[in-house]
Amino acid sequence: MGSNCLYNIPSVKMYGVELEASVNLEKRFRGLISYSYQAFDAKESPFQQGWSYYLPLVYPKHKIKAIGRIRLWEDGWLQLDTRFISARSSQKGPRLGSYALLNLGFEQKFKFWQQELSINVFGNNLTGAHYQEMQGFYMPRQTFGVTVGTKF
Amino acid sequence: MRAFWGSLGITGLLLALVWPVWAAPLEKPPEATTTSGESVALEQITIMAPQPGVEITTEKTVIHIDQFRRAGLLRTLEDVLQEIGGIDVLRQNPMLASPGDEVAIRGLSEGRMVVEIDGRRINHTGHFGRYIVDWATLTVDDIERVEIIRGGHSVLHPFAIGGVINIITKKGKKTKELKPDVSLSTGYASFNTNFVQGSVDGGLWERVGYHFSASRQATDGFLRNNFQWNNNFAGGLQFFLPFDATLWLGARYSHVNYGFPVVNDPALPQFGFDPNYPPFLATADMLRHLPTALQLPGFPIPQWNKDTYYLDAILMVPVGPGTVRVHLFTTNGRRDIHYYTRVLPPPAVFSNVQTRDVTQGLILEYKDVKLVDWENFKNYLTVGFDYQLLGSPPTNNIIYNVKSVYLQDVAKWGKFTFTNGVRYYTIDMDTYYAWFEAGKPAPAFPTEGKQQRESGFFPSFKIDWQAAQNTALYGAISRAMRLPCP
Repeated sequence: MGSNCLYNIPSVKMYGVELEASVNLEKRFRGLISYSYQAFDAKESPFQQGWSYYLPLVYPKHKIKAIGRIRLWEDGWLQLDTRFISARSSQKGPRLGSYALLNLGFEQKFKFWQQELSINVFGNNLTGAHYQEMQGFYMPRQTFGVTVGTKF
Repeated sequence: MRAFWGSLGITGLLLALVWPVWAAPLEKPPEATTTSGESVALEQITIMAPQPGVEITTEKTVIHIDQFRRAGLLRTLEDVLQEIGGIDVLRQNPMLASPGDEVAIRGLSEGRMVVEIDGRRINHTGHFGRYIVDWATLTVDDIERVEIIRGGHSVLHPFAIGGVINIITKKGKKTKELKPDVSLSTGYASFNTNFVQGSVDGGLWERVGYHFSASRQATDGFLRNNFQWNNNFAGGLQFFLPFDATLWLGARYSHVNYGFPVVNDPALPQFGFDPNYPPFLATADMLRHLPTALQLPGFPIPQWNKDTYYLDAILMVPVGPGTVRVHLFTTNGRRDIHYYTRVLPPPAVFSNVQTRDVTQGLILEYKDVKLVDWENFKNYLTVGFDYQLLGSPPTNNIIYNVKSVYLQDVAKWGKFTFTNGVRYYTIDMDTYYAWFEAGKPAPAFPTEGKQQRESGFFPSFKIDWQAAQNTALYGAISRAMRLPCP
């Protein structure tokens, strides 16, 4: 389950459920919402010292994700991405709180003869959530970016 | 939970605002491709196509990289995996994948799942505890698609308790058209994150296909000293031989320079707290032991340099009712690590460590052998032999000698598909005597010099029921093995 290089956990049971539902409306919208639950039971090992190597505990029990992809106009797509991560334990620090992120991206393609040009702009964590994916590694609030590409 | 509903509400509001302007058809769904020269035994019915470029069947999730979209940078395999259900990605740096990141399928991380390129395992031997897959080296430049199998029910992949992530690379085209497909892109994002990428993909006279890509990406990072830059090159030639045989000769190279985050703690002013950066404390999790001790700002700079070379030769030859696959491969990794091994109590000790990890292997497979092909009953068989040597020269050239043979039978009868298989392993390995074996007081550092052999049969059974055109149920039970880290 982790770096139990030197000993084995006597037994472990992992279980969960994953649900995903998607929808295509009028062929101009694609949406997805998914939920996953995961948990584990493990026998205590006498060799567990200080830090925990029962690493499934650093992963969230509950995750919810919602994605919407909308065609605004010819070759112009807006993508909205929301995710919720439930509270988790950490290896050697305090328990981490839950958080939710809102990401937004826009993609526009242009075609010139046999050449395709695309521009993407995006903003992540637009609500400015204060969060960590791994205990101790703080993540920034809003981040922004732009990419351009061509194919020919 | 309140935060989620808030974000969901904003999403819904934005969706409502743009609802009236939909006016044109959806982009094309991804089409199944066989450019990698792989054969397909039984057609897979797509149960869901939830995202652009993503197909979900009861066997696996397939992500076609060219069609895949996300709201953010799409530079590394981690960027893709973050969007897939059932996969957890824990990042240290939000802008680029880092060597210390953690990825898990259904709660089981890299030590208990297998990551492959074109069907061959790339997991390292795991020196320094848990360094097993370097996600920073896996860019999407040359990836055609990613296949994800959740759970350990496929005997075609070794050591897959949690599941499989198989990267299928681009291999050019069989075409008379001499003009190649060229792709160029660049981007800029927060924290001086930038990249530039280019690739060519094409073929020559229906005899040779080719794909080559190059990229560079860099970031200053969010945490103090958490900079990174990567250079990546990948490519190869696919030869189209007589009798529909193909030969792929491919190579990948990656260089990663990664700065370890350094302490930034107002409670430790002797190390120079910088309020321009977020706090970084000694209590931060180090799930992969990169590094194990607190690091200090200034010179010398704690950092990691990593060069990784992958070489592959894949021969595919149709023989009788099936296809023979011969895959020779090697991975050569060189790590040059500069870090503090001790900070407190003073004096601080800075160290330079160079390590190598080398994997060599061979896969021989007779796949998709058509035993029966009636209208209501089909039966296909795959048999194979997998041989891998994993070591850390020059100190120990062979830490693991892994040999395994496997057999998988797939029978489709009406709405039912039965997938049964077994893999037999023989593993000779150099390991450690744990502190309790060596009679030391707990906890103590392990003692080298232990040698052991593990062998056994690991069967798997899976049944799929196609209840309706777009509804399927499956159940599987399997016994799987993990290759422990040394």
